[in-house]
Amino acid sequence: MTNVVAAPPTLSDRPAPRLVARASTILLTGTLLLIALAVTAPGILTGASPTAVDPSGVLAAPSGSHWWGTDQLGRDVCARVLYGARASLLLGVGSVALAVGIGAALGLAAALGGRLVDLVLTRVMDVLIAIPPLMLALLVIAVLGPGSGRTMIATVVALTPLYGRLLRAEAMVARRAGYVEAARGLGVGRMALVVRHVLPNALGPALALATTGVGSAIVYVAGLSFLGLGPQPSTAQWGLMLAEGRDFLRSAWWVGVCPGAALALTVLAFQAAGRRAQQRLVRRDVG
Amino acid sequence: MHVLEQAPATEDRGPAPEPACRRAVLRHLLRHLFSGAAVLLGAATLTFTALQLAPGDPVAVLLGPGTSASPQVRAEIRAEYGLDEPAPLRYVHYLSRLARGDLGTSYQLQQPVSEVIVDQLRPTAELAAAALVLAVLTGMAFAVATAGRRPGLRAAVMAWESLALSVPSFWVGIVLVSVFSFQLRIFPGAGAQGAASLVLPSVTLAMPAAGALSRTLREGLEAALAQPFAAAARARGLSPTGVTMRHALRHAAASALNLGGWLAGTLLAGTVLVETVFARPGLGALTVQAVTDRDMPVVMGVVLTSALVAAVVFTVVDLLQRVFDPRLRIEVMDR
Repeated sequence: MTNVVAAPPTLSDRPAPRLVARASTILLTGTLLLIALAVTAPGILTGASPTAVDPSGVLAAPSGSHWWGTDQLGRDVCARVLYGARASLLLGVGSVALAVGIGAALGLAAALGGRLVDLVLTRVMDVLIAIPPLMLALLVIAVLGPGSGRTMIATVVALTPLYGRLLRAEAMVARRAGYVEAARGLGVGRMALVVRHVLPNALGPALALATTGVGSAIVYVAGLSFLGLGPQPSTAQWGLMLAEGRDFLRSAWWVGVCPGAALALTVLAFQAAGRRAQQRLVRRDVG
Repeated sequence: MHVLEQAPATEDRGPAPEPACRRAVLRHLLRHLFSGAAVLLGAATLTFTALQLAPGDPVAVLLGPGTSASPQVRAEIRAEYGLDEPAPLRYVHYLSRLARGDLGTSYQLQQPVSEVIVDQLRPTAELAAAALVLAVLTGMAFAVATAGRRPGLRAAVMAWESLALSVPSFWVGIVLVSVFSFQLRIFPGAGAQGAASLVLPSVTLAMPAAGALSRTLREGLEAALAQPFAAAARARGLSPTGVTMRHALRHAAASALNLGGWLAGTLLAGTVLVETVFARPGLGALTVQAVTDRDMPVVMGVVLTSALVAAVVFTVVDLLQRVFDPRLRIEVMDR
């Protein structure tokens, strides 16, 4: 935290007052910790079971015993949201990790594999980027059929071209850098050059973007589940819970609104963290 | 910086359209159209590949579940839909049919896909148009009101932008429905009857677009307001709003226009979720139904339509940018 180089103050990037900045850092860290806890050990955060059915307390309003009320089967909504964090998040993180991995491979191949490879890969990525990501994801689901893991594959396909293009651009810059020239002059082999020198320097911006991307990926996975193309009904997963809650909105808003609030908060946290990572990168490049 | 000081774009009408310049612009336009066509060809190839990868026998899908048909009937259906040809030939036929505007026949509805899409286009177009107008108006108003001034309001608008850009639209829709149609009973929460039913869906759909527009426009405005020409305009006694509207906005419009393609895609794809939340008929609802039924021709048709819309918007945006920013016209000349 101490090596932050002050950016030249401009109108569009005025540094926030220190107190506000510190408060938002604490808030962000707390939220991310809460999310991590919900993913790894939801039992610590709630004593209620996400699957315990209570026929006598169906669609009960939020109260002391059920903070966020109960759903159509009398299950505790809060517990279902907390236990649902794992399914919702892991799919999002997993699809971004895969998208960055595949995007890195494609981007490096395009940047370093010669003109023909570059032309073909760039054209393919142009086509994939020209189609709205959600449409691309829907096309994949239409081919593969609905299912929890398949929403992840669809999200990977929708996000990969973005990272591929970014990594190609970064690798193009890194390729011409002095340290790569120097390594080549020292007789470092082609593969080692790519893996040890070009990739680490091209990956930074992609990882910053990927942090923001986790947020979008979680939304894509939840959105596809919301459309009924994800996991089986009754699974504790945010997108699906939102879809099921939609049917009870007239009498019991909490069933749909609470999982959505958790989803929104998670996405916001990842977006904020990603923006910070990007700002730090910009500062590093400037300083 | 230097170039900007020498050529204040706000006053400059650009070079007179001499023949050489006109030819350069034409060449640029042709190149743009060509790359647009290449992208569309790529999208067509992609959808064709998707169809080949889709498992299951199309004939079985066509016949519906639990129907038994003799091998002869099956063969006839295969011939009718051209399924008995080898793949490269099917590809060529597919492309030639697409070139004639024929998107194939829906498996489920037994109707030409282009007809199905046109039938569902109206409610979706209404929704997208309303959302676009709303997004442009709010985005512009927020950006102009807060660019480089009113720190408190500016911070609030920036927080709203982050929210609008990251909070999932289907959740926003659910919250709006539960507040405005079930609690306050102001607007209907479902269906597509009348203008009132358009309010909540278009607000939902416009949110991320308005956030992105407001953020991009404000950043563009602030960069423009830092230029000497803005200070000169202020020195001539123009009000802050006057400087922003009459001088800086033209500069910022270029960066906001860059969002055009993204905006079209977001609005179009957003209708898929928003129409589901509000139980509205339209292209989005059609797409979800087709994906669920695995009605490949309809899915392919919708994907191609969205690619076409994106390509058209992209080209129009490129042209508009030259209208707003004469410097770009010179750039074309130089190449």
